[in-house]
Amino acid sequence: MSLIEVPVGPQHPALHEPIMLRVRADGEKVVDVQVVNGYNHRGAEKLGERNTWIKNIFLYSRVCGICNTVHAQTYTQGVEFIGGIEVPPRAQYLRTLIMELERIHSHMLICAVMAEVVGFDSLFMLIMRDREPVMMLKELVTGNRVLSDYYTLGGVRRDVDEVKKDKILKVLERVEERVKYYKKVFLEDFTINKRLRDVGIIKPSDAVRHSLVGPTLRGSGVKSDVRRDDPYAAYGEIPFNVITYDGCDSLSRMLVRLDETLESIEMVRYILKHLPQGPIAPKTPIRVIPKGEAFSRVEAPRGELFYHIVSLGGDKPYRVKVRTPSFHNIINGVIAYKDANIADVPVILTSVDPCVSCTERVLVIDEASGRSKVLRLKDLSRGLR
Amino acid sequence: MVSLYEILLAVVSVLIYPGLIFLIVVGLLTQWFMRKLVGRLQNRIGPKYVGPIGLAQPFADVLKLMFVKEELSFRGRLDKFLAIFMALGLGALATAMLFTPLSPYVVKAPYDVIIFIYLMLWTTAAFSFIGLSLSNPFTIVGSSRLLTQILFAEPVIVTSIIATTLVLSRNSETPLSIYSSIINPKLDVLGLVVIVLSLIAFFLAVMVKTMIKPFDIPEAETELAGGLLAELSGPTLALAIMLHYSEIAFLTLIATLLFLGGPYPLSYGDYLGPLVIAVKYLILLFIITLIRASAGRIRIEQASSMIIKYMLTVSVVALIIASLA
Repeated sequence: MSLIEVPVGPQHPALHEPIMLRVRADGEKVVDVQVVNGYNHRGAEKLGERNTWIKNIFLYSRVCGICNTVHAQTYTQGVEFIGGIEVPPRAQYLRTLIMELERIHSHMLICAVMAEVVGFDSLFMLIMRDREPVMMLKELVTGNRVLSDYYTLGGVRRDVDEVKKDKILKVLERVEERVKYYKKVFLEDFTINKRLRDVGIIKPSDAVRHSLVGPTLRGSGVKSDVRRDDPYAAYGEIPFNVITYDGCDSLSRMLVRLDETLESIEMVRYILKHLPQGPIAPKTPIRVIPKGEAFSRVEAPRGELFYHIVSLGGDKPYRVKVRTPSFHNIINGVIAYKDANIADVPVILTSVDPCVSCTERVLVIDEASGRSKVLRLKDLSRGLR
Repeated sequence: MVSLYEILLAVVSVLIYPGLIFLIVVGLLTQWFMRKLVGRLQNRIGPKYVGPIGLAQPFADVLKLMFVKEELSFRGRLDKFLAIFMALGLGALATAMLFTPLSPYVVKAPYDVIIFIYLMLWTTAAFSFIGLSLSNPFTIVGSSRLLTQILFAEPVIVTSIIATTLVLSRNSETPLSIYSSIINPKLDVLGLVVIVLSLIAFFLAVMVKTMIKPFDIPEAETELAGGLLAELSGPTLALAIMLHYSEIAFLTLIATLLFLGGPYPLSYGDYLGPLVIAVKYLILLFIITLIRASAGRIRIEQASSMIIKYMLTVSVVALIIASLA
């Protein structure tokens, strides 16, 4: 039996960020898939130790472009916990608002990418067109289209007035109609069903055992959502459903996202209706945080995002450890490629919503001896071998 | 004794009209039409800058590849064979055009449909050879997919053409001849059934053969990074593009002439005839483009079962009816 190795990556039209899937195939059947990452490491954790607490909000927003506010949320809520900072209710609601807007556009993006991966360019173009108004709403609320930089310690940096509220509601009406239509397309379209249904099966027990998170886990029928299990920001006060599908395949994972988008639109409506009055941030910026340690977790669009923050007092953190959802989903998601076709590999990868830039770590583990070592900058500049 | 005039006419027919130059020009205009239409369907503008409404964009693309871009070569790449095979494919298509009444130099003989089909197969051979002359894994997988696809689609094309010519050139002096079935068709009700069935099968098989969505499996940009065409660059890529679109143009033209009656209800002598042919041609192309824009890509085994179910069965039924009629 002669196997051919098809490299999907590090640069590949199906991928939007550099990662490598070494696919070994027997004809069209995949025998095994090896994930190789490390093409996009930026040293954000190390850099965070040199920055002040406030500067770090902007640094950690940039860990991921698409889900930047959830990174800011996770970091600030951890720091606020250490510092005992009280966040005003209006700011909590506004944070929730912006995180839900982000979930809407992030889920729409991955649905578009999925359409592109199965070769359905028209659907890709249309979803991207309809996603743009949501980006515009983000700009309306925060001042920026993508990287919102909306957070500060103890609150948010901009307020929402009545005019903006009306505009948001009006735009979301159109978006909701389109998302409902796209859900219908994903459910009924011939080629999408041929390519997504029963592809990349992850059984519920496997999903839990391999610590998959987010829509990938909920697509296997496991009801797990940090927003419900461990409410943060204003999620304790906002009614919403945790969406699960029992299909365990790529289609279920996409349908979870489409339904969550609709759910998020409802949540935004609720937030705007019940927005409490009051201040949005403390009068003077908080610069010094006392000694302490915090774990912080948030439901990012891709799953559970986790920060571990250690403070020794002063204006800088001692250590910030970031664990992103894609780290689990990409690397442990390898179980889904078993017995797939070569054609299914990009589909399965896209169905876990990979966010490669979040994933990069430089900890080299020698498989044979089980020993690990951290690389220095000098080794990095020579390239990973 | 063959006169000088006849030789000259044959050469002009093969090289200029309706042969090489005509096919390439029509093929590139076809590319423009498909790109523009898909662009409009996808909420984009499509080709716009070169020529009026972007009409010259495909020509500019090909010329750029030919004269500006370099050819990247590497060890194990059979450069000359690639170019030779693609040129042979293009030449075979140009020669096959002589069998149609569009050509001033007419080739016709009893059973010439066999030679016609043989000439049509050369483009497929050229594309399959791309995979064999490169050692890239994407190309190898792409070409194995193309061969699988062709294995199922080519019989459909052959059967539907034979069934149609069988019906149309019955009782003629030259049976099973492309020319006489196009120029002087004998049609009855049963013949019409055969033609409709063959047209459906042929039309779908053309989409498979020319790798148009949902059958662009050998190219599969998001899986195989372009598959077959992944390693081509410069003039060779230009040649591949010209061959690909000439093939689309050629097969659609054959569908127009053979199955849709060419300039019918006018005749070939009529000066409005070409206009009717062009309109029919564009309608076929419009349908192809509509399917291309409203479908994703299916998997190879799904494609082969689809071909057997919806194309091979239909064309074989058409052939059986044609032989009984």
